[in-house]
Amino acid sequence: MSDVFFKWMRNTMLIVCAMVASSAHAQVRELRVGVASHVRSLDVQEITSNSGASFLYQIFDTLIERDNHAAPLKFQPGLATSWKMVSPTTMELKLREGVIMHDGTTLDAEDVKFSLERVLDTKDPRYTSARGRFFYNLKSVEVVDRLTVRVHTHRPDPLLETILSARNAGITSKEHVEKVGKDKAGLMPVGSGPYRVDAFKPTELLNLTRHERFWGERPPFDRITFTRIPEVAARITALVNREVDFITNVPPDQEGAIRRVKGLKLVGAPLPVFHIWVLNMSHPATANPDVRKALNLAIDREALVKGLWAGRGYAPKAHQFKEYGEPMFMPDLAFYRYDPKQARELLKKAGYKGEQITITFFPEYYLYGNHAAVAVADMWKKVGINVKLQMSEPAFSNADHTKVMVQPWSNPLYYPDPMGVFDTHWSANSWVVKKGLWKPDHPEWAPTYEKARFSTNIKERREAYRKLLTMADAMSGWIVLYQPYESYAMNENIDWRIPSAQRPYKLTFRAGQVSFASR
Amino acid sequence: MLRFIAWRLGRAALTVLLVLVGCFVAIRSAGSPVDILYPEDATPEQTALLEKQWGLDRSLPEQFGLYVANLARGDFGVSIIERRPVTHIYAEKLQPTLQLAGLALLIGVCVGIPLGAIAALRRGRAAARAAMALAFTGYAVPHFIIAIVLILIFSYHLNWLPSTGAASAWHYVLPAVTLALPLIAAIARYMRSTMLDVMNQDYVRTARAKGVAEPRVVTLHVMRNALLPLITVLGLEVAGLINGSLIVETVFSWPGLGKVLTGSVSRRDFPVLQFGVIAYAIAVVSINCLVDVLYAVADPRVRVES
Repeated sequence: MSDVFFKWMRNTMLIVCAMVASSAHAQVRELRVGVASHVRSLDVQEITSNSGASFLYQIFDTLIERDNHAAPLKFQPGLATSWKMVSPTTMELKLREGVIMHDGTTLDAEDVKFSLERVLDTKDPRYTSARGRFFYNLKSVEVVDRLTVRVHTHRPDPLLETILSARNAGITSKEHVEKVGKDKAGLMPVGSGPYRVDAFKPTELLNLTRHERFWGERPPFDRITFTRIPEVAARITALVNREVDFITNVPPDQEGAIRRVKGLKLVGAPLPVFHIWVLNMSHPATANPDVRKALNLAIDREALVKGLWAGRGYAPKAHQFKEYGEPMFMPDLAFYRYDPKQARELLKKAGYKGEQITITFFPEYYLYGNHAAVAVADMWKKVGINVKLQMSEPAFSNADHTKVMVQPWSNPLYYPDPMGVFDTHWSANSWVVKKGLWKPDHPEWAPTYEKARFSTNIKERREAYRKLLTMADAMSGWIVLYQPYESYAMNENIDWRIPSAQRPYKLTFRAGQVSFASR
Repeated sequence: MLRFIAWRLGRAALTVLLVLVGCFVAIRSAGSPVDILYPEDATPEQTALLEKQWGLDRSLPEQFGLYVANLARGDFGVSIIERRPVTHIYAEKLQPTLQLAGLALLIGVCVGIPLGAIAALRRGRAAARAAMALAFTGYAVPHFIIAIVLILIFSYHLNWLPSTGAASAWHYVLPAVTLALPLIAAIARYMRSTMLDVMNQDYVRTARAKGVAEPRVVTLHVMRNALLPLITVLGLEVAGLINGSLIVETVFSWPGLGKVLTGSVSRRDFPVLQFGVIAYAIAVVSINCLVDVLYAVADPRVRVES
């Protein structure tokens, strides 16, 4: 009897405690996020990094938004309520009425023109990256009236909606930037999104609070803090210790530390990013396409995925991602395979006589990149290649690219279209072309590339892309190693999905994208 | 005495200058911040523009001359990466570092001195031996190991104390203890040996012989004399404390100078690093100078010898 009574008492007390605790927390709903890397500025047109995209997404709206999980892309009204093409190179957009920005001003066409056109200022180097990646086909933005703008492009662009929904096309307040200047505006930015900046310590901390006058649905949190915790073990400890609610970048070999703890969970996936090795087509050692092809065939990708990524990564068969959706993703494409026998034959055919091939690698830059270098060196040795490993630190600081033979890189999918990974990395404007590492010398390369990027007929674009990949495989100017697998770890009661229609690593904390049961 | 101080100050200034030159040349020989600031697809014109803007296109002696001239005017420069005056950055980060180091020093002195004294007085007994063995371990184990072990026990397994940031008073506990442990060990060991020295001195024996009560002998005759040489040790240890705080701040994500300094090296943020190195050198050199002068005040022989 006394036992039953005791149990009843205990349970009642627990329930009362839980109610008190949850009512206290109901007043301020806060999400504390521990991130691996941070940003030095929050200038929405300047910052193109992964962590930047996550922060900017909460603060800034774009004219056109995306359904975060649709493949192929589905567009939704953002700051523009409707849009239509009025000529092949002109899109007219009607802006939303009464959007109050974080500085209290009302959004109008001048803000849109100011935000998008400053990317075109070639004299200001801070916008080079965004322009080269997304906006090089943008010509000008014309103010028609207070709530109507026309976006002019140099050439008809099948990807205009996609590009206008990239976060670097976010709209900031013209009045604010003109008042405080670009540098200060980067530290105290003004957008129109559901959260506004409360405190920002560059490369360290970002505190957001709910924007009371946000035009859209009220977001799930009153406050979000993003704290930089660079070490993975420290991030995990902070989560286990309930110092934060959510952490990024948990590699497969660290998952055990989360699984052991009750009340936490992991959300992970192979990310739409390729870890790549570029083979320098200008270097004598890697100039022969047969040698490059042999280097490709000698790599057992399945073994790498199994050994380095605990079987969780993905060994692709072509330079494409399923995130494109139909019809641009082509499941029948299969170029990459492991064939050491053919690799040896190709080396023989190329007259390879044991010339040294150096793998440059960046320690600690790409997750498991060191291990990959050692493992592949071993695979190459097995087919008779004389391999040397060379460390370069910091990453990409090897100033003289003519001396590089093999070097790591990554190809993230910036928007879910073949061009979101191809045009953003292998176009004629890319550094690999400018520095001569990638030299697509096939006479049909340039015209096919044109079609793949600019054709307004989607089938033609797809076939051009298929042809590009076929030619690229023949040239074998790079090696796709694998797609990495990374997880987010969080409190069990957080319901969040990886937004596959956004670029990898993007955190989405707006209304309907995340929910948080009472703590 | 004045000559002695002037000589020491001159030497200190030379040290700071040499450190500055070394840092200036070393960081520039590692590469340009422009490589890090810009994506790979930046044009040569754009990088040239930025290098010109920051004066990186000039020769090294020219850059150095310009930098020293600016320093003389009190202009320490603007961070290349964050685009704000370096003095603002340091002003923001100095306080957390000083608080942490100050707290560690306090713990070190308050625990280390009594521990060393007890170890000397109870020499040979098990408790004293255990205390000294512990102190020896604390001295031998590097900061980052202590930090990780403490985090593992008190944050990961017990969930008692926070492990990242400086949001509340509780956040100070683990980093301050991490920094203080080797300090306690150093102070205790030194205190013990000087105590033992002093205890064998004639004046202590005399004090006992003339019937002074034991507590009075210990506090007034032994400890007071044993504390004097500790000044030197503390001076050295404070410099070590600043060194250690760089590592400890990184492990605990402490928003202090450590992160600024290590970050500025990897990002090649020249103005930030240079200011940090100068400030650091001046701090260490002034502490040493102060110790020298204090010592000279306390012990006339030092003055005569130099």
